[in-house]
Amino acid sequence: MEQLQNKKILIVDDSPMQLQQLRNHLEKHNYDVAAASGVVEALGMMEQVTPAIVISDIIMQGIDGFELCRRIKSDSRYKSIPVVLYTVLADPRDVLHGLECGADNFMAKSYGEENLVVMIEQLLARKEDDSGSIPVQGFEINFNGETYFITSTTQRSIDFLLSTYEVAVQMNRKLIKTQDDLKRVNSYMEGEVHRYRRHLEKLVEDRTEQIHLLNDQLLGLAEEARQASRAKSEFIANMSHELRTPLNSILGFAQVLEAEYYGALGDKQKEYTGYILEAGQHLLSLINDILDLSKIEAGSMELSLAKVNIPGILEHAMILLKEKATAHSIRFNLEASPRMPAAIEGDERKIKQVIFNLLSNAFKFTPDNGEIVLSALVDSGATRIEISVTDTGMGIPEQYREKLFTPFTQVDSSMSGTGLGLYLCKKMVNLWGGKIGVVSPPEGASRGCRFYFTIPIPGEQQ
Amino acid sequence: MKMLIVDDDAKSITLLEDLLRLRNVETLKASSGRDALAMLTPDLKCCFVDIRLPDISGSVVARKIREKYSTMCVVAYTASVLSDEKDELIRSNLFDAVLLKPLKLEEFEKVMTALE
Repeated sequence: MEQLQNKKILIVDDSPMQLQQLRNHLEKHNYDVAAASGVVEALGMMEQVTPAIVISDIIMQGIDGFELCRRIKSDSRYKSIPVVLYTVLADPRDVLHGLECGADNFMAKSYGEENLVVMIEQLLARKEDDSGSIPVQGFEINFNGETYFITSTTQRSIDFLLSTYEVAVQMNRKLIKTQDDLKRVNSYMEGEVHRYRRHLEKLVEDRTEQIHLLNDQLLGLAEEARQASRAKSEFIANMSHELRTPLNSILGFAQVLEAEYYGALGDKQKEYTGYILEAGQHLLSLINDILDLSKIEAGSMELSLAKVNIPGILEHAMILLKEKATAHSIRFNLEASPRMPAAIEGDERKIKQVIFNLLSNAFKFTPDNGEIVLSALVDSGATRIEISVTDTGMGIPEQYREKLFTPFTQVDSSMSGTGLGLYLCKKMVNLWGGKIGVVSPPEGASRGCRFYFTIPIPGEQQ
Repeated sequence: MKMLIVDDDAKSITLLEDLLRLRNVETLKASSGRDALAMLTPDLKCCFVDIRLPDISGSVVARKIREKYSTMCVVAYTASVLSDEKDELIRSNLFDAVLLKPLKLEEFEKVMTALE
């Protein structure tokens, strides 16, 4: 091919990047390239550069490529210079405009540099062939309601049409390729989606199976727990029954002996009978406490709520222990607030149990000639009752106060008792949301202690 | 006066028997529910019935006595003292009184006073 190193090409584009790209392409093929970033600049360079070909972008800031072409073609000095419009060519009107303004050909931006070079070579060759006598044809074309007047050589029109066709074919090829790519991607995606769905379905199946399995296991465990709980309750009931039956003989016959229904007892006999009764009673309290304890541990201790007459319970306790107090010359008094409600909602058996527990502790630790006070107060807002037992015993050393309410803790292990009483009291008081505690020595006293517990009074509701 | 004691624990029977004899009550003894039912006679003033009997429950014995002799007293004599067991006995309305083991003499006296 003939070398055209002496041929200059002026390229016009307002995008510096595209300008640079085009320049690189052309320079790679040994063209002498001059670049302008706009129409005005390009026109200004025409005289000095005298390019062999002008390649211009169409859509640019300010004056467009059509206008540049028109001006070149209407200038007698330059009209023979081929002008190639460089465009995306999305619209047939661009073709008509191109013909109208006298452009020699156009070039799709996506065309590829090989084609560009071929086109340039053709244009240069033709220019040499037909320079001078150009038979001009003028005709009108109506398109889309607009009239275009085109003065163009047949050759130029055919070039335009061929380029259009070429571009269309290229675009079509690209479209077909894109379509094929899409199809491939699509079928790949479908495969993936299908596989993923299968995977998910399998996962769901597996999980469902696992859940069913777990559920069965849980049901089994729940049933086992129910059976265990039932077995435990039965065991407790049986134990209680079996322990009480021999105690019936021990305590029953000892009481008969002590009552001397069958003749008077000697001193030692009396003493021993007393021991049997005492030990038997202790065993009975142990059994009762352990039963309560196992009920608590099994979580089966519940409140049975009813209207409870607190003043009545307190007076009953006073009557029951009066004799014991008198026997030991213990001053035993009741101090109840006059504002004490006659009846509150509560568990009578358990309230009694706590009061008797605290009182029997007080009697156990209060020396003869001491004093025990059972008192009941209502707080100012009438939201709770505080029942307390104050004694003049040895008191509770600081280090025992915390441990006192845990099972099998006794300050003085020489004293009788199961070590469970206060623990059970705490559990019961907690059951109704009350507080239990000890103050030692009591406020304003030098010795002894005061045990207290609270019972909440439910708000006014009827 | 004649009374029946039903219990499978011989010593529990002896205790009650001696206490009743001291009050000049004539006593009959049975160690099972069926034996007790076979011994029922209209002249019995009262039956002391253990609940956990080897053959049938003391409650069943009490119901049969009630059906046969509506005026005869029936006293439960039992070591079943857990609150739900006790509640069941009281709610059943089958017993005129409940004596719990281990027996307290004063409780026994109270029941006897009530019977007289």
